[in-house]
Amino acid sequence: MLAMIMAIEDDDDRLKAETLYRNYERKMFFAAKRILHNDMKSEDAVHNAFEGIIRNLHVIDNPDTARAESYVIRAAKNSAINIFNRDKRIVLIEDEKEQNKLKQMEVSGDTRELMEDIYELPQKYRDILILRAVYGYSYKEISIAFKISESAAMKRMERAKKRLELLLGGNVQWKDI
Amino acid sequence: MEGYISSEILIEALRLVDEMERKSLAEKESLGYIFSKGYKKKKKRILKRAKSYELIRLPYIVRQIAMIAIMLIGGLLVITVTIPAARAKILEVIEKVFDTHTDIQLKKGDSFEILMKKPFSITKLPKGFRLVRETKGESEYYENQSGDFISFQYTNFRGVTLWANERKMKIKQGQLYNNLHKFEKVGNTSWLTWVQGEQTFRIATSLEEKEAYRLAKNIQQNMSKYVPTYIPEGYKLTYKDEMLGGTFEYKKGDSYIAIDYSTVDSGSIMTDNEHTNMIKGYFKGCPSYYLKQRGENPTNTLIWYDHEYFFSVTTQVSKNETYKIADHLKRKD
Repeated sequence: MLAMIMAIEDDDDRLKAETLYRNYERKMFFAAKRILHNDMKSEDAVHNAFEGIIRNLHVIDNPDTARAESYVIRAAKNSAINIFNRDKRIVLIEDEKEQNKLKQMEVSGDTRELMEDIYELPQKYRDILILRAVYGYSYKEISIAFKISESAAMKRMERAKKRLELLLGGNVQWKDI
Repeated sequence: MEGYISSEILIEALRLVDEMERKSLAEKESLGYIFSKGYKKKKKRILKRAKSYELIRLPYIVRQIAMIAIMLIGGLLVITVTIPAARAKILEVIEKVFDTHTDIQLKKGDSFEILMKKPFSITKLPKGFRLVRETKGESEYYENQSGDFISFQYTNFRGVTLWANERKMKIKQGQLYNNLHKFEKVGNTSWLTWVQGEQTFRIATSLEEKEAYRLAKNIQQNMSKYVPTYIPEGYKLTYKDEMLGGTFEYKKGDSYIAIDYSTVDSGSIMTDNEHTNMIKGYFKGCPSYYLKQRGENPTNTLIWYDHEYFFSVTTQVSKNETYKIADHLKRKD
């Protein structure tokens, strides 16, 4: 009976998994490498992230979307941060190049300022804000990507909001976020 | 940054940050990187497993229901499969324990008593009488169309010395089977009572005294005939006697099977071998004894008795075969 249930196969899932690998494996690797500055550890981070994602493939509706891309990349980053924290290495995580690119972007001054403040946030807060506010992932789905509990994801979101409010000087409308 | 920030503006800024981050990674990707063999192996394993995570991906409640269903079906299967087997095993164990631990070790000369309850009937009835009711082994009641009746009762009392004196009845002796008897008439009913062996008989009738005596002289036992319907292969019938009860003997080389049934008023089973085990039990709803000799080439005897006969099956085959032979001893109708 168990074997029968286990045999409920969905070839789409395999295809989805392969697409995720093909599309985002490298991006995930480089996202992890920015944090870890080590190839092998970055591979581990990608592998760990994929392990969680493949177990919960239902979270990914369409692997060819920015929503899916953002999700898997942030999962890899989170995985890298976990490895980093485990190894307790002191490395500068902030990427100077990103900051420079931001200055070159053609956006209004206010938006650029807002983006700079967002960049000031620690990676884990930035990730959760993007997944939740931009792509509407549930706390349950976020908890899968970050390998934390649902309540921990909610707590992290609260802290991210507070931190951003501090940076922005209060007055943020959190409606629908 | 100061002032009011709406959620739309914030989301837009977050979207741009996200886009920028992703784009920057795309640029890096073009640099190219060859993943290690170890990583590729892990990746292959993950992709292989991607199919088998279906159960895990099911919603929690569905998983719970599935698990309960699996357990129930599994449980039912186990119960269905094991109950008859378990029952058979338990019975086997009980039988084994019974056989092993309830054997009565008999010493030479030990005996036990058997009381038989034999069916009798009146063989010659006056014309026009028909059987209205009977209780097997106890009584018969006949009537004719003119309203006369004959009631015949019998029971096995032992040690009866007669009972009539206390009622000041006339006791006659030597007129009926050389046994004590009494006759009395109360109203239109004649009562004739007598003892024969272990049995006490009584005829009550609306007919005359001489008719009561005539009926009493025509009492006979109704005896059934039995025939073996199963004998193990290779055994040949070597002796048969059906005059008094029945005896059947079969032989196959030195091995033999003896089947016997006969009437007894009372009797005893005596063991002549100190090394015989006796197992008490029930066979065909009747008290039975299985006598099992120990040693090489033992003889097994199954004995049982009903209200009519004392049966014995003596064999040199297995216990199961012995019981099978006994079970196939059928009454001739």
